Amino acid sequence: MKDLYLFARIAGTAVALCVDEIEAVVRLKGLSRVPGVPDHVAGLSALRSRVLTVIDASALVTGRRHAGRDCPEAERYAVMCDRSGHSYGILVDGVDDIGTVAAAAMPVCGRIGAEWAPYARGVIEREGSPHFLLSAADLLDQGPVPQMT
Amino acid sequence: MDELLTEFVAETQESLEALTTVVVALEADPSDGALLDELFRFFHTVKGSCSFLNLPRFEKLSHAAEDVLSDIRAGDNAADAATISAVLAVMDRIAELCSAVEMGESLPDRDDEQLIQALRRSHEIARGGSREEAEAGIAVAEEVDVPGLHADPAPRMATTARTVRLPLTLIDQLMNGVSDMVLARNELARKLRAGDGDPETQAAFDRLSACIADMRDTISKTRMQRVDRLFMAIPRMVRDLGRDLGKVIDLVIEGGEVEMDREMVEMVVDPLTHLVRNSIDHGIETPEQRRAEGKAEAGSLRLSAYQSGSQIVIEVADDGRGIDLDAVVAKVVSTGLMSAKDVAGLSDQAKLDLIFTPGLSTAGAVTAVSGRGVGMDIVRANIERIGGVISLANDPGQGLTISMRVPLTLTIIPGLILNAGGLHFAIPRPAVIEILHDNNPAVAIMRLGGGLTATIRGIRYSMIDLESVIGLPVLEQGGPRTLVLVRSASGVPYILGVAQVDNHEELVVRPAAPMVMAAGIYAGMTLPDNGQPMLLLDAGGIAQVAQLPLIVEHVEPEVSADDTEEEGPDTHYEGLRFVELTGEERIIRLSLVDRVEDIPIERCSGSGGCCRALVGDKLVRSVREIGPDMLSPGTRHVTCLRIRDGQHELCYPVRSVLDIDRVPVELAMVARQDLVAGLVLIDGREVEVIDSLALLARASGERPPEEDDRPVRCIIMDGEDPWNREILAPLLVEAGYPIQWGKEGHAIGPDDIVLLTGQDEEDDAAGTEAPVIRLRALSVPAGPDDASIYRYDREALLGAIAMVREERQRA
Repeated sequence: MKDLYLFARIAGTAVALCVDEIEAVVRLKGLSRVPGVPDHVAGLSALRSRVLTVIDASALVTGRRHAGRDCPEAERYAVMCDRSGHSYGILVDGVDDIGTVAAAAMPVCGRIGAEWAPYARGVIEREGSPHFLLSAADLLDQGPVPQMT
Repeated sequence: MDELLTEFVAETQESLEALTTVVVALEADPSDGALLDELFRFFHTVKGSCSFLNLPRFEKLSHAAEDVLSDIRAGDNAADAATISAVLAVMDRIAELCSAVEMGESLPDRDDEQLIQALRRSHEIARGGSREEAEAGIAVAEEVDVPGLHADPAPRMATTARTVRLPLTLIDQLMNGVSDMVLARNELARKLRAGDGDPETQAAFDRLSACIADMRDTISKTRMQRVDRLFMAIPRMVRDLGRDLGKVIDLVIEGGEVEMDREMVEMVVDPLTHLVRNSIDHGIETPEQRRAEGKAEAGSLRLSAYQSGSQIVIEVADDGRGIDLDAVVAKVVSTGLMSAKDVAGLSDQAKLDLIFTPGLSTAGAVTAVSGRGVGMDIVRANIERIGGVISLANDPGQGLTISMRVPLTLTIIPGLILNAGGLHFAIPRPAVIEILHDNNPAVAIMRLGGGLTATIRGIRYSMIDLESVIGLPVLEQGGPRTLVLVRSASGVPYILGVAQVDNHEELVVRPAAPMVMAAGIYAGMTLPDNGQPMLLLDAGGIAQVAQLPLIVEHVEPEVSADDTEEEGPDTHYEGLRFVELTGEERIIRLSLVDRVEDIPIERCSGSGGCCRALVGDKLVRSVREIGPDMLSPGTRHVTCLRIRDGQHELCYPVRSVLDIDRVPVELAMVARQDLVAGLVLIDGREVEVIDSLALLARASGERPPEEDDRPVRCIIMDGEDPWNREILAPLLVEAGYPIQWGKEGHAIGPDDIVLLTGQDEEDDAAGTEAPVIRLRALSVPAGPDDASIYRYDREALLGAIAMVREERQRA
């Protein structure tokens, strides 16, 4: 089984997303804030005539905002995907690579942080380092999961 | 040719083409059930379509074939070759008829009946008759068929435009592509403006720009659909309902050729159906009742559609009993929705609008009482959701007309761009009733326990600052904040406080992501021309989320002081800068402008050099003549400044409103012409200032009279008073009197006339022999001894001066 994955970082954690779910990786130019919505909705960004709803994956998972979210000068990358007719951009720390992995995803093992538990579907190893396998759908359909402390 | 008919023909021909293979296969094997089904579906569709298109020949033919085929499908016996041939003969005839219709020819009324007979006969025979008879049947069919198939192979010159069918997604992709192009063009335009601007590049760009605009228009048209679609199901419904209720209804449908966005058509179907049902159920009386009323037995129901600007108006008019206002009022009071006192203060129109009150409709009994009102709140909510407006014209006993005004498309709506808490938002223009500044003297804002109310011209509304709904701080700003009077979902207006209204623009609206919509205060998102995405506010949702109590209260108007008096001896006043219909940029004193409103051009009429506009329900004199030729192409509305001065009302048509500026009281140059008083300098530019007095004089219908030169000097004592400088002095100069400011130190001679406007100047004038004329700010004299003249009473003022002069000449 050889699937193509996008390797990125969210809140400093290495993650992998299946490219089937992804349309493109874009650099956000502007970000218009949206007040009155959950904090992980970072705002709207125009990509030509399309409007992306930008999701701050870091805020969603860890509750801490993406570092560059509020500074317009920062280089902000978003993973663009379509979900039920809406275009989204998932704000990531950075994108490392796109590539195939030989091995199938492994089950999550080890005691991982509670914040990642609802999102990590498995672990994928690339060049010896592990990445959480995420699904864009999980990030887009769920609200922030209440953290158990 | 009727578009529906064209579509029908195209569809039928398409199916016929597709069926060719079926026909061939069927001829080979007449017993193939699946093929028969396909054939059956074809006839069934044709029959269904032509019943409302009124094509009796098509209907008869397809009906006969459908009958036979359904019999075969139901029965155990397979179709025999003879029957199939006869069916195919019918099919050929339909094809012939189609091409005849397409070419606009009238096909000679030939023996369709014989074809049908032949079909029936061969079917009967197949069921029980002999083989020979069946053969005979075919012979008849063939015989009949011959002239049709082989006679006059007329040149197939289609007289109508040919059509193709496209998947909707393709059109949407095209639309997106064009939107991208428009945005790219805008970006390029900005870059070009910033650069040194080579005229050749600019010309090429302009050409490109025009092409893109054309293309956008064309693509938008592909989304359009005729309103016929909307009206299609109505005749049947009217017939059925009329029969059920024992009413005779004469239905007239007009304007089916008007086009609107196909999505919009979908959105309007339900409200329209509801209104028609209401009309028949509650509006139109039974024949007996109508006879008793002296009306024709058949009730008339008229559905019409027409385009008005960027809106489509759909009207449902009946000549039934209309709405009994007293009954509606009684119902509203009895259900406790409003107090009797509140209701008593309402105008008839406002009482009529009570039928939209939610809660009133849910009570079943109201149907019998008010005669109407079932679900009207829902109808209105549905119409408003798509940015439309619904209005009623009631003629008790004579009928009711309901008008729905909806935007041409769902996706492009006129919107206002607001600023609150440093962010921009859009709001659909139809949701906005009025926009005012919070320093407008007609507005009083009250704050109690965190809650806000605002009273505008005697009506108290709930108010909320947008910033508090969206959790942003209210930013400090130099100028006044803006109050937007908006309609909530229930129709009760409330006031949304925002930092300011920036702009208005045609907005392409698209749905927002679910997590954004979940906030409940947004209706969608939009990408305006500047490329910054913004959210479209949902006025109804904001009121709900904010849990704003929606109450409108009439309060006793307080006696307010004259606006201009409050300004004090200021050197500047606020002026509204606008562009005249003729293109000049001018400024008018803001305090004179009550509000800015768009008035449909149909509502403006002119006669004998005097133009009037119908605003609400009254005629208001227009400052200038308004003609359709003065509007920019494509618009059907004229922007009007509503001028109000206590007693008079005027409407001032303008091309557009630009900005509010601080205008110096002192004119940079007096240049009196028509309504212009002179020039002032705004940011180093010369702008013409409207002469307030000359303008207001028009309100009462006067034209400035031509006067002779009079060598009488007028001394205006208070040279600091802006009213004196801005209004009084120009008036006197215009009338031909030289003026002098009292405090300039010149001696006052006996030949002069002293004009006083304030109390404290009394002393200054004492000791002069010159006659004194006093002007007062209030229109009514302070007492019986008050000999002063109301300051806008130009006649009296000039008359008094003239009288002094005459006395002097006589002496």
